[in-house]
Amino acid sequence: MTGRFDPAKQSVKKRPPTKVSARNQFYVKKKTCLAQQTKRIEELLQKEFDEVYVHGLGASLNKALTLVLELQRRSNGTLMADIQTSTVNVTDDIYSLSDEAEAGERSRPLSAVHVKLYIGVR
Amino acid sequence: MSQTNAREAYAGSDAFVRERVTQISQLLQLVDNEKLVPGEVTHNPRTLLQRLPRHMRRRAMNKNFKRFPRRLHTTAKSFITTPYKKKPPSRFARRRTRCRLMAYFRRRKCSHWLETHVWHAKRFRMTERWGYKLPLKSFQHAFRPIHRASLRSCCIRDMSYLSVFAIRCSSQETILKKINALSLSNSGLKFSHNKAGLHELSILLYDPELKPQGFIGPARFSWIRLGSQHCLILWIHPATHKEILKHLIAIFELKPENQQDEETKQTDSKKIGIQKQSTVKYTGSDGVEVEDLRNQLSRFRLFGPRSLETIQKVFKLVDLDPQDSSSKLIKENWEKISRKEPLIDGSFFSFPVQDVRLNMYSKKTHSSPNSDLEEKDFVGKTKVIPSLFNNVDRIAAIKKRVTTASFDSERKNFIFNNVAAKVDNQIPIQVITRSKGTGCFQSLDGAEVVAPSEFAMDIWMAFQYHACAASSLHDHEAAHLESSSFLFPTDVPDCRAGDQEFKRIADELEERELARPFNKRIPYWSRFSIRFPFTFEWNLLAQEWGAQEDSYVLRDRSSLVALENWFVGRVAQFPIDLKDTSTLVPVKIRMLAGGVPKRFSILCIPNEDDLKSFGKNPRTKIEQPRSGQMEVDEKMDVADEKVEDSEERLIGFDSFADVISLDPVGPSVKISIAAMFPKCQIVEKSMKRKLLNAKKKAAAKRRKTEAGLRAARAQKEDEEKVKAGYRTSANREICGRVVRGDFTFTESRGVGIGFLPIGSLAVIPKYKNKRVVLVRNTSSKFYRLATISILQTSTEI
Repeated sequence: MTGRFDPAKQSVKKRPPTKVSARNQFYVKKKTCLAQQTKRIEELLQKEFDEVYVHGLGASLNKALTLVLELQRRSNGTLMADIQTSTVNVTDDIYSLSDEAEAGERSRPLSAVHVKLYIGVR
Repeated sequence: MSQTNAREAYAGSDAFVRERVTQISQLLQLVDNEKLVPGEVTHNPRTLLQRLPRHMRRRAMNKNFKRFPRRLHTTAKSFITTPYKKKPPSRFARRRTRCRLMAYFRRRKCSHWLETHVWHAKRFRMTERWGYKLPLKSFQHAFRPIHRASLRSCCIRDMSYLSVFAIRCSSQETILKKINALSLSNSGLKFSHNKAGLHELSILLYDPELKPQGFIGPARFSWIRLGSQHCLILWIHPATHKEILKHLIAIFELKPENQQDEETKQTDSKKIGIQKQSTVKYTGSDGVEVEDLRNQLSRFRLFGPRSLETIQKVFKLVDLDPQDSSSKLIKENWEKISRKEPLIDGSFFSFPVQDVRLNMYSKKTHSSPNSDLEEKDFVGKTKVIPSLFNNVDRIAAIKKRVTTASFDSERKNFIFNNVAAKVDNQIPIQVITRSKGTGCFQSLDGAEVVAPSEFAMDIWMAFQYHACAASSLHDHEAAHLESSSFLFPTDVPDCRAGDQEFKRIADELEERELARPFNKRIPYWSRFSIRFPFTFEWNLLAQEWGAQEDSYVLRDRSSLVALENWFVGRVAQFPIDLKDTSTLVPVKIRMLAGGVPKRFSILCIPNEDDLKSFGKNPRTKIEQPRSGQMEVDEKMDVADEKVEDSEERLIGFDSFADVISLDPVGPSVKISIAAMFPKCQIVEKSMKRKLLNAKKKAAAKRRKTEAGLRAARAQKEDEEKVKAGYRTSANREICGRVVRGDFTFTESRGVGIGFLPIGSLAVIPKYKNKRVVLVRNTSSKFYRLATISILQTSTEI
């Protein structure tokens, strides 16, 4: 199913995108607190990992990049970043609430950014 | 009275004794002669026990002569007249299995117990709801750890109290044609959706003759195939069971079947589980069969992101025949739930699994993504896959179940493979996914497991061994508030089940209030101007906002969307379709600057001055004046208050002397030192009695006068209440009430959900581009500011 849906006749439930669950994988959302996330990543880089991955999807793409820049600024040049962009397909389930409307799935492509942050010297 | 008469009224004691000396001596000879123990009657204590010195007295001497010193045994035997009562049976005897089973049945008569009742009763406060004993509140945890578990790992709730109907017919259209009368288009899904039977979906049921007012309750339905028959599985709330059954009987023209299953008759009557397998069956005119499977299936709901992982750890698939097509499908489904990909809400899968006791851990462990268990091939390959809703399959699985005692005895001998060989039965289970999708708070997301109730305790214990935190009704209520959805039937006003629940809560609160001393009761009306502190009275409120008929909740999806568009300012014109003024609109309120709304809080309309003062300082508290009525004159109010205060103080110390004073200062009263130290006073016995009697008399008199005063005051209050109306009873115009509210961890602020009459929406003002209302709790005098938005989430079970 493609195109717009009628909110009066259909209800939509957005499935969350697939994630890799690991301690050094960070997914930035619109509600993510940047200050807290920066602290957490810094702590991880100092104690446990040499590299962390920051992912941003759709509207939170900007926010993910801001986070990366902030981390680099605070690291005094010891933190390197490799950036990769991609397109992620997300699925929405559409339920019809009347006999006229259709039910089904809707696939949406969303731009994504994946940043690998690692300790190194330029 | 003359002197002579006065003398005649008294008898002189000397003369009286002198005249009767002979009679007294004769009497004394009878009771105090040589034959008797000297001075037994006249001087010494009478009973044998009293004759013993204190140090020789023993407990229960008057019951058992053996307690006396040996030399007095023979005398004591004749003295003890009371027959020695039989000793009650020992604790060992009392706690024999049969006795305990009988006691268990006796207790179960009052209200039905869940299979996990005993486990819960040790850890939770239990309560009776909808004919079941349910866990109300944990003794160990508050909601917060449950909330954390639902965010990070997994928690579990026993929802086995939900009822289930299986409606069967060879033709799907025959069922659909009639049962669609129970659903309402535009307010949610219909039974005709999802005919293929891939998902279990939520639906709202209505009385066919009273649409759209006659809301019955929410349900969940799914279509399955049982051989050649189509089967509609309908899960409902127990509060709506009678009503829905009544409608099903009317729709399908059903008649009850009296015959029992043959397997049930053959089984041992002592076994509780098998006894319950008597299914109530109904047959209809068009070949439709309805089975009431209440209490035969257990349903566990898991909340949290690791629900499916935990299910995979707890259950192990039986070894299936790889060549069979249905086995392949089962394996595919099992792999599907093991993947990290999110599944569609309501996707359900049926699996035949091994006995869960085989996979139980010795130590509790959280399920983690990397810790996979070794799969052991205990059981022979299976060809026939049992169905959960097929009675024959289900009863066969129950019959094969190894009892816990024999399972444990085998395990004790470390013959684990023997146990595995014996436990060759397969349990039919159903796994259902639940998801609200992104963008909403996911406190209710997770999965559900349905299994025969005979295996419920084993499954429950297995989940406990996998560190699933058990939660209760209170947690369920809080989780619903976190996800801003109404809990059925506690929060739903326009249905019979909801009305009954509202009445129960009101009665409970009123009883608790009346149990308090008179001066410790909250003066809801005189102090806070709350006319209905324990009820909502939606019909009255809607009437005062222009409703002509009884109120009902607006659930029409398109109307709610249109209303939302107008309310937030996307559309200028009020939706014309919504002419019915008797509807209640579901709303969500979020506190702007402090304050926590609670159940029964009032929602009021702020005036311009309020908004100005909030503009200066959002934490401004607007106070409800003490007089209770609309604001008149502040100066007058203050003066009145002073007079009232002084009067109340006087009353408090004169006519209300039996009540405990809450006044920290009180009027100055001289207290004598002697009165402060009563032990120092030497009061004679007779004087004490007199004083006590006088006190009692005074108290009785006071009670009488106070009762009159209180009745008069109550009558006056009632008159005032009627005069004030509902909408204008408080300082600000009341436009709605909160049905559930608290501090939410998701939003870190006070949040509430409630209803407004549709007529009041137009007068709700905007403040910084948001619609705002004032919120005041029933026992608070301060109004606080909150934003208001229209809720579109539908009620689910």
